Formats: sequence, C-alpha cells, structure tokens
Amino acid sequence: MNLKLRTFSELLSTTIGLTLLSSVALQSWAQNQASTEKADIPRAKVGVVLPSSATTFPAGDGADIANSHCLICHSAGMVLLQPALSESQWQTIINKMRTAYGAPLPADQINALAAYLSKIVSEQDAPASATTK
Amino acid sequence: MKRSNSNLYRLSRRNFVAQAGQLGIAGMLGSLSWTARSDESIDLPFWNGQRELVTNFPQKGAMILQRTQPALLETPFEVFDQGVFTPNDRFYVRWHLPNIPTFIDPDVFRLKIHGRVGKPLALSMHDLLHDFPRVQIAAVNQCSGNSRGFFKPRVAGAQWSNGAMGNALWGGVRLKDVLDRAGVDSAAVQVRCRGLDSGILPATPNFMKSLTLDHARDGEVMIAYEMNGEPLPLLNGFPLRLVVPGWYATYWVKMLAEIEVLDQPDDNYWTAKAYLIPDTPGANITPVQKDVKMVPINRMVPRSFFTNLKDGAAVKRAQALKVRGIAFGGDTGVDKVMVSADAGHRWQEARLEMDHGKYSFRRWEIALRLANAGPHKLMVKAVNNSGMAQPDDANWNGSGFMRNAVESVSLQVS
Ligand code: HEC
Repeated sequence: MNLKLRTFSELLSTTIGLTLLSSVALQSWAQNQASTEKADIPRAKVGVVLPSSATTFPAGDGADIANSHCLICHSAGMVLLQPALSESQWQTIINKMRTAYGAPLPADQINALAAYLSKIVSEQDAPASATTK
Repeated sequence: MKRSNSNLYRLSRRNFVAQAGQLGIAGMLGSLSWTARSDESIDLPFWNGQRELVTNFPQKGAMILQRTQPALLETPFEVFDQGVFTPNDRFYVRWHLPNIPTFIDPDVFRLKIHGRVGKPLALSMHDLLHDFPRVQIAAVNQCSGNSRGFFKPRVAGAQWSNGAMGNALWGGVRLKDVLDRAGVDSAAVQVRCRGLDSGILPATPNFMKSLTLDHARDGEVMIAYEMNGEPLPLLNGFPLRLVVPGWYATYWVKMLAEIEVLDQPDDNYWTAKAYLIPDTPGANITPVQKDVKMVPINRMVPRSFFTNLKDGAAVKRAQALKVRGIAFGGDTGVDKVMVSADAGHRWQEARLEMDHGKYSFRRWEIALRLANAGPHKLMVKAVNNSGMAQPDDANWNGSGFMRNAVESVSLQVS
C-alpha cells in the first residue's frame, strides 16, 4: 500500500522539482517583461511553484488505508476539514471516490476506512488541527 | 526541499504586515466577522472551522487555506470592505484536479476550437489580442458551494465560509466572435470547454463544462485574458479563463485551452453528473426528501453582506453608526438593499453606491442610530432587478450549493 503511495507522491515531487528549477529563472524573466505595452501583458511567460502538503492521517486503525489511498488526488485537508460525518456518509464518499474518480481502493477496505474517518474527523476540532492541510 | 522560499511572490510575514500597513489592510482586521486567533490562523464560525492564513501561494497575498493540493484558497472577508473589486492577489482559488501546469509560455499556448465547426482554429494569444474586439465586463465569480460550511445539517465538500467569491473587471474577447470565426455547424447544440488541468490517475475525468450554443453565443460570455487590468494570476486561470456572467463559477473554466462544439448534449461527468441541484425554488429540499429531479446548476441568486461590522461588537446607544457592505443581484442587477436593526420587523433601504454593471458587486451604505440598549440583530437583504429577494430561511441541499439567505450580525448596544 504505502509503496504505491510513495510512487505517486515521488512522481509528483519530481515533476514539481523540475518545474522549480526552470521556474526560478522564468519568474525573473517574467518580471523583466512587466513593462511591456499593456495589450501585450498576457504574453509574458509565467512560472510558479505551488506549495505541497506533507500532512498525513493521524494514527489509528485504518490510518494506513487512508494514507495510501486518500492522498493520491488531493491533500489531507480535503478529508480532515470535513464536518463530523457518520460511517455511512463516509462510505458514500469513499464509493464516490472509487466510481467517479477512479480511486484504487479495494471494496473490502471501505468499511474499515469509513469507521476510521468518522472517528478521527469528529475529533478534529482542536487547535492541533491547524497544521498545513 | 523548501519550495515556498524559492517563490518570488512569497512575502515573509514581516514584509506582509509592513505592506498591509501601507495599504491600510492592517487596520481593517478588526472588522472581521470572526476572530483571527493569531496572524496565522483564523476561526471560521462553524464546527472544525479553524484554518491557516497562508501567504505561500504564488501571486497571492494572505489567504485562508482550505486545501493545499489542488489549491482551495478563500478570500478573508475583510478584503470585501476595501473596494468593489477584489484584488487579484486576494481573489479566491478553486481547482478540482491536481495536475495544474506551473509554467505557461503564452507564445506557445494555443486555444483550440474544434468539433462541429466549418474551420477548426488554433488561436495564439497574439491572435486573440489583435484579431478580435476587446470587451470588458465587471462580474462576480462565485463558487457554487460558497458558504457551504453554514449548511445545517452540514454536508461534505469544501467547507467554505463566505469568501469563495470575488468581483473583477474582466477583459478579453467574446466567445461568440471566436465561434463565428470558426463557423458553427447547423447541427451544433452545445459548446464544451476544457482547461489544462488534469487528474493524476487516468480514470479521473478531465474537468470540462458545457454551455448551450445559444448561451455561448449570447455576446456576454467571454474569454478573458485580463482580470482587473492585469493578466490573470496563474491560480485564477492564466492565460485564459471563460467568463460566464451571472452564472456560478463552475462554468468559468480556467486555463481554457479547448473549445469543442458538440452536436449532442454533453455527457461528461462534470457537466452531466456533478454540480447538479434539485429542480426546486432556491435549490431547496429537506434532508429526507427523495427522488428529486436534478438539473445542472446555473444562474446565481441575489446576496448581500455586511463588510464593516463584526458579530458581537459593542456599540454606544444613540451613536451614529455607519453600516456598509456589498450586494449582488445574481443574474441581474441589484434593485435595492434593505437593512433591519430589529431582527427583521422593520426594514430601511440602504443607499446604493456606483453601479458597475448588473453582474458586479454593488456597495451599499446606511446610517443607523440604535436608540435602545441591549442586543440588536442587524439583517441585510438584497432584492434584484427581477424582483427576487434573498430568502429569510436558508436553503438546504445535499451538495451545499446556492446558499443565499439573509445575513445577520448581532450587536451589543450600551
Ligand atoms: C482518483 C482520485 C481520488 C482519490 C484517490 C480520492 N479522491 Fe477524494 N476527491 C477526488 C476529486 C476529483 C474530488 C473533487 C475535488 C474538488 O471538488 O475539488 C474529491 C473530493 C473529495 C471530498 C469532498 C466531497 C466530495 O464529494 O467532493 C472528500 C471528503 C474526499 N474526496 C475524500 C476522499 C477520501 C476519504 C479518499 C480515500 C479513499 C479519497 N477522497 C480519495 C479525487 C480522489
């Protein structure tokens, strides 16, 4: 499981890393172009670096499943900042991730993950939750 | 790797405060409708509402972090007190899919128009800037799920407060002019727009949204290359973004790169299955209501907000109180803004400030004098030019879309 996640996020950070190298140079280039005629403004090159999140799921039964399957397409904030939802509401969400977006989560892990998420998310409303999501 | 530090646009906390001071932003923090716990976190007024205030996103100032990847950034509400247009660097950000290009060379970029057209086109930025009339429109861009965090019972999705909206002066070309150049086939029924973003797994559907051909050719829908007189920030869709005045932001495709003219109604996931609302007035149902007919979300509805009053603030009895805020009519202009100082028993009409067009925010202002000591509930309600008023009671639907109930703040008068 974790192996799969690592591959995905490594792939992601390599891409970001490469973009980073080129974008530092390009940003200065874009700034130099800022004085071009107004109508031509949208033609200056733009390179940026997007922040990434290192937040993983809190320890507990099911954290492994969440870490390997719920950080592939979005960072943890999508999950941890939800309201307190029931297990069956989480089952519905997890199924949507599988059917609508292609999350590769085996069907026999849905219930365990839903139980874990409904527990940890409802315990979220504490100052400790203010870490990068 | 410390990515944020290599970002030229990033301001250190100290720099930000210094610059904010120069711009007069620091002084406005007191008018927040919730409490900022520290420089770096903010409590949105609902359960699990603590959020970081971040400055490490490119071309963005301080924003409320809802999700890092793909970015969901909310505009802190005090920004709306500062002017009728939302500055580009404070404009909210909302992406669905994680692969967002981080480098764009407008000299290489092409906008493709294909499908049921006489002549497929691949337009360069130069073509768009020089071969088509340039038009401008002031328009509110609001997420379908703006204010979702206030739904009762709560629903899943991005847990926004009221800052998933903004108003900008958009500059660009009419979608109609571009379609005419390509020559639309008589069999065409819809126009499907796609941006450069994509999912990380091939199974995730690409983000695409469609408009009917008539809507696409109404002369108002535009392809914007400017936002408030500047190129769009990358996170708001550089180099091109569809602008669909009066309609929810889900249609305003960012990094617009492909326009496909269809001869069948679009059946892609994001148009046909996502962003559906109950086909009821105000998209309002009860949580137990079943078998409701669902339709794609479409026109916006009127809203209004206080921008200079903090919930729970103490004011002096009989003291002149200048109250101000913003309103918008949704798919048409603001007819009037009504303010009540007694929980909705009596209403007074606010003075509307300059009109920037029917799709824009409109600032309003009213002077109140609260004669009696004690708690006062102030309410604000907009009525649009079609006679549609904000409802007193909030709507509910399972996706948390289209909230537009009357807003209120409580003041303690002594
Ligand atoms: C294959 C990609 C993918 C994977 C894997 C995935 N999601 Fe999602 N998820 C999405 C997309 C796309 C959205 C919609 C994003 C948006 O609207 O910004 C989403 C949205 C959500 C939402 C918001 C509610 C909604 O219905 O839009 C929640 C909660 C959520 N995901 C939880 C999870 C959990 C829990 C997992 C772990 C099983 C997971 N996701 C795995 C793609 C994925």
